Amino acid sequence: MRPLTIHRKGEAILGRDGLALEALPLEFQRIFPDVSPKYIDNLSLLAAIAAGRAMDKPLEENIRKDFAVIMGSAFGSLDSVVDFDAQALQKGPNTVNPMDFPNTVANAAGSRIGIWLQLKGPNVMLTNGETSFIDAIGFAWEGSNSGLFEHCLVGAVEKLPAFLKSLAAGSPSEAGREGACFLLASAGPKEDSLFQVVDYFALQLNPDLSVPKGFKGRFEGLWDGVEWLGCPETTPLDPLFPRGLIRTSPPSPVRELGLGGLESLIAFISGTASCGIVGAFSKSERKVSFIKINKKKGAVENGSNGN
Amino acid sequence: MKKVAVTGLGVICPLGDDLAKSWKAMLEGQVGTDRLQLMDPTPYRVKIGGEIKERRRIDDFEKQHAGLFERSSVLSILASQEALSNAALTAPDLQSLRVGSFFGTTMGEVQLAERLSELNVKGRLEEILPGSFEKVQGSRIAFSVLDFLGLGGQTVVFSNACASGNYAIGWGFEQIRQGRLDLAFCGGVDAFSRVAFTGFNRLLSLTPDKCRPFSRGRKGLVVSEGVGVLLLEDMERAQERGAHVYCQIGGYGLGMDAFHMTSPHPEGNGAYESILRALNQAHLNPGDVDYISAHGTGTPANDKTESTAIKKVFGAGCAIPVNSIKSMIGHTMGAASAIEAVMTCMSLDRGMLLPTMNWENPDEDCIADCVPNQSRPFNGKTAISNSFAFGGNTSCLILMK
Repeated sequence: MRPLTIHRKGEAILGRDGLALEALPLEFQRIFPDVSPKYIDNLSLLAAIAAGRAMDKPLEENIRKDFAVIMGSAFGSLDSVVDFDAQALQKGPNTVNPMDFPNTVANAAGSRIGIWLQLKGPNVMLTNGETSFIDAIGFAWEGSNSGLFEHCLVGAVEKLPAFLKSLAAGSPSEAGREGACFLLASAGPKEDSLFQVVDYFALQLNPDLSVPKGFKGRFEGLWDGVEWLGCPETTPLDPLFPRGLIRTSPPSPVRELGLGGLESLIAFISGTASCGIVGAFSKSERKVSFIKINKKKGAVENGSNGN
Repeated sequence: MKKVAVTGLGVICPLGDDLAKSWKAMLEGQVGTDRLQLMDPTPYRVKIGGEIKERRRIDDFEKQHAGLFERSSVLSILASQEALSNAALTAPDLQSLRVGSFFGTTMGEVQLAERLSELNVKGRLEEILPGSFEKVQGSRIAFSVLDFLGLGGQTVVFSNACASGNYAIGWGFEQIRQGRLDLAFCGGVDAFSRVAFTGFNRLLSLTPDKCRPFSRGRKGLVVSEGVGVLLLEDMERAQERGAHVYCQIGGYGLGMDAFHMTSPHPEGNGAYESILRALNQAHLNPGDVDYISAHGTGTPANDKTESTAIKKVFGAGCAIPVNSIKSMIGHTMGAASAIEAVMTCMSLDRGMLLPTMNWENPDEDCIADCVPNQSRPFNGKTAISNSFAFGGNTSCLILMK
C-alpha cells in the first residue's frame, strides 16, 4: 500500500487564534473574494476557510479533474436543519427561504469546496460520529490506494446547534469543539511532507467490548514500529496496546466530536516521535479508529500549517 | 482482487414492507405515492408524498425496543434482517467473520432532529430525552445494525445526499474486493422528513400529482421514504456455502459536477465521469451494458442532463432500456440508490425490467426507451445504476450476472 502524504494543514477552530462566529463571513471572503457568503451556513464557512488555508497555491486543471474532497462530521448539517425547521415551524412552511435549503444536506460544505475550487474528483462526506476525522483520513488513504484519486483535501468540520450544547456535557465550555481542519494530501511518498499516513484501522467493538475474532490479526499488526500513541481518553483496547509506548492525551477538556484526533495529530506533528498512531474513540458506539503515521526525524511544521 | 457477490436483499418502501411485496407491486406498475397521511400537508403547495403504508413491522419493532433506536436505524435494522435471512444466514453465522455495515443517508436521524427542533422552538428543552445527543448523529444508523445483531465490525455512514446509498455500496464492494472484509451490509435509508418536504416545496421541485420521469411535461419529484439493503459477500465464500447469488458488483464510479448546489451540470459532466469511472473499474466497454437504472427524478433538469450524459457515453442513438422506479415510489432520498440497486439485482436475477410509470409523451431531450408503463422480460447480463445528488455529487454502480 502506498502512503498518503500530507503536505499542509489548515484550521478554522472557533475560539482559537481569535476566530469568532461573527468573523466567519469576512475571513471567508478574504480567501474566496469572488463568492458571496450570503445564504451560506457556518458549517460551510468553517470548512471553506480551513480548506483555503490548507491550499498553498491554485491547482492546475489536470490536477483538479481528479482531485477529491473527503470530509467527516459527527453532526453534519444538524445546525442548519434545526434552523430551517424552526423558521418553518414559527412562520409557516411557505415563508422559509429556499436559498437556505441546500444548507440542510450534510454534503453541502464539501460540495461547495468542490464547486468553489473546481475540484472534480470524488466528493465524499462521512457522518461517522466522534471518529469522523480519523475515518475521513483513513478513507483518503484507502481510497487513494484503490485508485479513486491521486490528490485530495481531507478533514472534518463540526458546528452544533446552540441548544444541543447543554446536552453534551456539564458545562458549555466542555460541550464540543466547533470548527474545521483540512489536510492537503497526495498519494505516494513525496518530499514536501508534513507526515505520511501508512495504515488505518477502524472498528466497532463487540457488545462485550472485545475485538471481533476476524479483526484480531489486523489489529495486532498495526503496532509494528510504533513508538507513540495519541489517544483522547482511555479505551477498552488499552490492555491490548503494546507496552512501552509513549502515550499522550490532549490536555483540553473540550470534546472533540467529529474532530476527534485533531489535538493528538497536532501533538505528533510538533513532537519528536517518527512513527505514531493517532486514535479517536466513540464510547456510545464502541468504536475505535486509528491512523498510523510517519514523519522524518526532525521534521517540523514550519511553513506548512496554513494558519 | 476478489469478486463480490450480492447474496441478500432487503427493502421497505411505499409499495411494501419487504422485498417480495415491493417487487411484485413494482412489476405490476403500482404507484405508491399519494396525499400525505402521516403529516398534514394542508399548508404546503404540493400535498403528495411517498409514505411507508404497511407499518406493522416498524410499529412492532419500535414497541418491542422502545426508545433504543430512532426511525432511520429501525428501518435499516429491519431491512438488514431481511437481507440476512434472504441470504440464508443468521447473526451467529457471522460471529467469526469480518463484517461491515455501510449506510448512506441524506437526512440521518431526521425525525429525532425535527423533534428536538420542535421542543427548542416551544421552549420545552427539559423534555429532551437522555441519549438524544448521541442518537441524532448519522453514524448511529450503521452502528445500530451491527449492535442489534450482536456483532462488531467496520461501520461507515455516508451523507452524500441522494447518492449516498451508492457510496455505501461502493465502499462495501471495495472492502470485500480488497480482502479486508468477508461480508457487508450496504444500504441507504431515509425516514420521511418534514425539512426535506418543506425545502423541496420551496424550491418548486415537486410535482403536484405524479412523477413522470423522461416524459415531456414532467413536473418534478415526489419526496418519499424507505430503505434498501444489499448483503455483499466474498464470491468464493458465497459459492462455497451454496448461496444464491443474485449478481456481482462489477465496479463503481464517483464524480462531481463542480457546478451548482441544486442544479445539475447542463452537459451532465459529473454523471458522465462517474459512469466512465465505473466502466473503467469493471473493465467494461459501453457496448457491454444491457440496462440502466436511472436516477430519473422526474424533474425537467435531471432527466434531461442524465439523458445527455447517457448519450455521451453510450452514443446519441442509445437504445439501452433506461427506467426510473421513482415513478412508483417517489424519491426516497438517501435510500433511493440502494432501493434502485436492490431492484436492479432483482431484474438481473428474475429476467424482468420494471416499468417507468406515468410516462405520457416522448421528450426528444431524453433517452429513447424508458420501459414506459409496463414491465417486460429481459435477458441482459450487465446493468448500471446511476445516482446523483444535491451539491453535484454523482455516482454509478455496475451490477453483473
